[in-house]
Amino acid sequence: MFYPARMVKIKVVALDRYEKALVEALHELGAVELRGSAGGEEPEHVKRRGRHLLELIRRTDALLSGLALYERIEKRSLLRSLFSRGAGFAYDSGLLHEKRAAGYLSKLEHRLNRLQEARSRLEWKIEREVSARDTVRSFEGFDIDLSSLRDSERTFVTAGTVPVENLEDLLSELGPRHISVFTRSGETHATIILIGLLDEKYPIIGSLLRHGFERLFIPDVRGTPAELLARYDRDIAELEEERKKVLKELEDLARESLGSLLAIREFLGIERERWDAQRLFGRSKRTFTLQGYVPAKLLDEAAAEIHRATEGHAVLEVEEPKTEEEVPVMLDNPGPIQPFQLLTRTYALPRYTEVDPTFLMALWFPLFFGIMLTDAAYGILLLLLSWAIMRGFESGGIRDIGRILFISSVWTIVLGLAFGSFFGDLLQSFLRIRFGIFNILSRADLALLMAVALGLLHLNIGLALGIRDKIARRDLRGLVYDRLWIILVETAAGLWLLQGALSLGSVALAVVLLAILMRKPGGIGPLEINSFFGSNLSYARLLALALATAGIAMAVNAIGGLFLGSLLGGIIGVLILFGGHLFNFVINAFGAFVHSMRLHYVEFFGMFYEGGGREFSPFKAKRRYTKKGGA
Amino acid sequence: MVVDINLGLKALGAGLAIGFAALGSGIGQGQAAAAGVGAVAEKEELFGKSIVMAALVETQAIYGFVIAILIMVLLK
Repeated sequence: MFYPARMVKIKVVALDRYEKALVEALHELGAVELRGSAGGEEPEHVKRRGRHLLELIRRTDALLSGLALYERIEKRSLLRSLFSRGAGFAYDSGLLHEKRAAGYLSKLEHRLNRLQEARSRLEWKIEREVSARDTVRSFEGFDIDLSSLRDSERTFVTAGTVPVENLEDLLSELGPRHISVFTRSGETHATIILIGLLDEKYPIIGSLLRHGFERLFIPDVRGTPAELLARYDRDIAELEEERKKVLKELEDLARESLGSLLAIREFLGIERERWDAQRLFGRSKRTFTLQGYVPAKLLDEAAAEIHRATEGHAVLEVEEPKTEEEVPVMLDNPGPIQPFQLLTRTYALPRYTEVDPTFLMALWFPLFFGIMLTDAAYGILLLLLSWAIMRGFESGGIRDIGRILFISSVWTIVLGLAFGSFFGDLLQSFLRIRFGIFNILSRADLALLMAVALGLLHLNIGLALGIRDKIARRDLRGLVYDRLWIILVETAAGLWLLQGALSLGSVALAVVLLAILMRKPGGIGPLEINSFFGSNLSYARLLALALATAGIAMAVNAIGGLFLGSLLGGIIGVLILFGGHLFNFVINAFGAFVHSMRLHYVEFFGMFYEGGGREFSPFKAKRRYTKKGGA
Repeated sequence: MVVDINLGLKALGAGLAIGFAALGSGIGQGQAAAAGVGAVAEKEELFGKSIVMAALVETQAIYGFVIAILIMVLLK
C-alpha cells in the first residue's frame, strides 16, 4: 500500500515444442511483462505466420469497414450504457481458428463484392434512365413520335426554346420559309420543333438566334414523349425496387456476419500479440528463453501455469531486480483507496523504489474537498450524483471519479453540518433554525487560521516523507539544502510566535538557516523561505472556496427571498433558488475538485514526490467479444 | 448620518487587494487556460494537467483574498 507492488524477474527456458502452449498460458494469465532476450534468429515459420496474420487482420478490417456502412457498429451512447450492460453479439465459435477464419473471410468477401457490384450497377442504370427522362421531359406535350424528327435528304429538324414574348415575332419572320413548326408555350419560354428545307437552313437559324433561341437535344428514341415518360418512370421504379432489395441483402449480411467478424478480429488480434511476444524470445537450436517481470504476489500462480503448460519441462529462474534497473511499476492498494490511484497516475506514477502517495491522497483529498464545499445539502446532492455515476459505469476512470466523489460527499455533509450550512443559510434565513459550531462567513479569521494550520500539518507530512526519501537515497546535499532548512524555518517561526518577540534562540536559528541557504547552489537560496510560506498560505484556498460557496448560497437565498410573498413571486423565487443553488453546486464542486488536486500536486508533492515510473504492462489477452479457449 | 471613515478605508483597501490580485490572476488564468485548450485538442489525456495548470495561477488571487480578510478582521 505504501509502495508500488514488489516485482521479481523471471527467466524461463523450455523446449520449442512447448512454446505455443506456454505463450497461450501466459497470455491468458496476464501476470508477466515480457522483455526481450538476446540470442538466436526467429525461425522462418514464425516470420511467415506473422505476415499471414497481418494479412488476415487487414482483410477483416476491410470487411468490417465495408459492412459498417450498412450496420452501425456498436456505438453505445452514454444513456444506454447507464441502463444496459454487455455488447451482446452472436458469433460462431468454430470460426476462431486461422484456416476456418480465412475461409469465412473469403466467402464473405465474395458475397460483399457481388452485392456491392450489383448495387453500383443498379445505381449507374438509374442515373442513366433519369438523365434520359430529363431530356425527353423537354418535349412533354408534343404528340409526335421523337424518332420521326430526323434530318432527311432535303429537310432538317431542329428543336429549342425561345422566350414567350418573342414567339409571335419569330413566327412572322420565318413566314413561309419553313415546312412546319410545332409550338408549346410555357410560362416564360415556348418550346418549338421546326422542320425546314435544307437550302433555307442558315437563314432560318439566323432568325431563330436573333429571337433568343436555345437549342435542345433531340434524343434518339422511338415513341411519343408521353409514352416514353411513362416507360422511364416504370423502369426507374423497377430499378429502385431492385436496388432496395440489394441494400436489404447488404444490411442482412452486415447484421448476420458482424458478430463473427468482431470475434474473428479479436481472435486474430490476440494471435498477433502472441506472435509479437514470440519475437522477444531468445532461441537456441531446440529451446527458447523468455524473460520478464512478475508482481511477487502473482509469482506462485505464474510458476504453476508455466509448470502446467510445459508439463514440467522448463527451467524457471527467479531473482530480485537490481536497483539500477528500470523496474515496471504496478500500484497496489486496497479496494477503497484504489480510485485515488487515478489522481496519482494523472500526476505521474511513482518510481519503483518511491513511496506511493495514493493512500495519503485518499486520506486528505476528500477532506480538502469537503472543506471547500462545506454544505450539507450540496453534499447530499453530490452523494446522489456519485451514486448514479457508480451505478452507470462498471469500471474505468469515470467510475473512479464517482467513487472519489462519494467519499468526498461524506466529508462535505459532515463539515456542512458542523458549520451550519444547508443550501447556505437557507434554514437560518427562512425557518430560523440555527445549527453548527460556528459560521465561516462571520468568523473568517478563525477559519483562515484553521486552514493554514491544516496546511502546515499536510506540508509536514510531505516533508517527513521527503526527508525519509533523501536519507534512503543517501542524498545528503539534497537533504540539507532542500529539506532540513524547512524545519529550521518552522522552529524559528514557532519560537518567535511563542515568545512574542525575537529571542536569542530564534535569531541564532535564523543565522544558521541563512548560512545554509546562502551556500545553496544558484545563489538565491534565501528566497526559498518565501516559497515555503507561499506554499503554506496557499492552503488559505481551503477557506476561500468554502467562503465562496457559502457567500454565493447566501446571495441566492437573499435574492430568492425578495420574491416570496405572492403566488407569482413565489414561483419566481423558487426558480431563482433552484437555478442559483444548482449553479453554485456545480461551479464549486468543480472548483473543490480541481483545487484539492492542485494542493496535492503542487504544494504536497513538491515536498517529497518525483514520480516518473513506467507502468507495468503485462502480456495479457484483452477480450470483449470472445471467451477464453475460443468457446 | 455618521460615516465611519475607518471602515470605509478598510473596505476600500480590502477591495483593492482582492481586486488587483484577481485581475492579474484572471489574465494569467486566461493565458494558461487558452494554452490548456490547445494542448487538450492535440492530446486529450492532458485534460487533468491543463486544469491544474489553470488553477495554479489562481494562487495569487487567493493571496489577495487572504490580505483582504486580514485587513477587514485584524486592522482596528
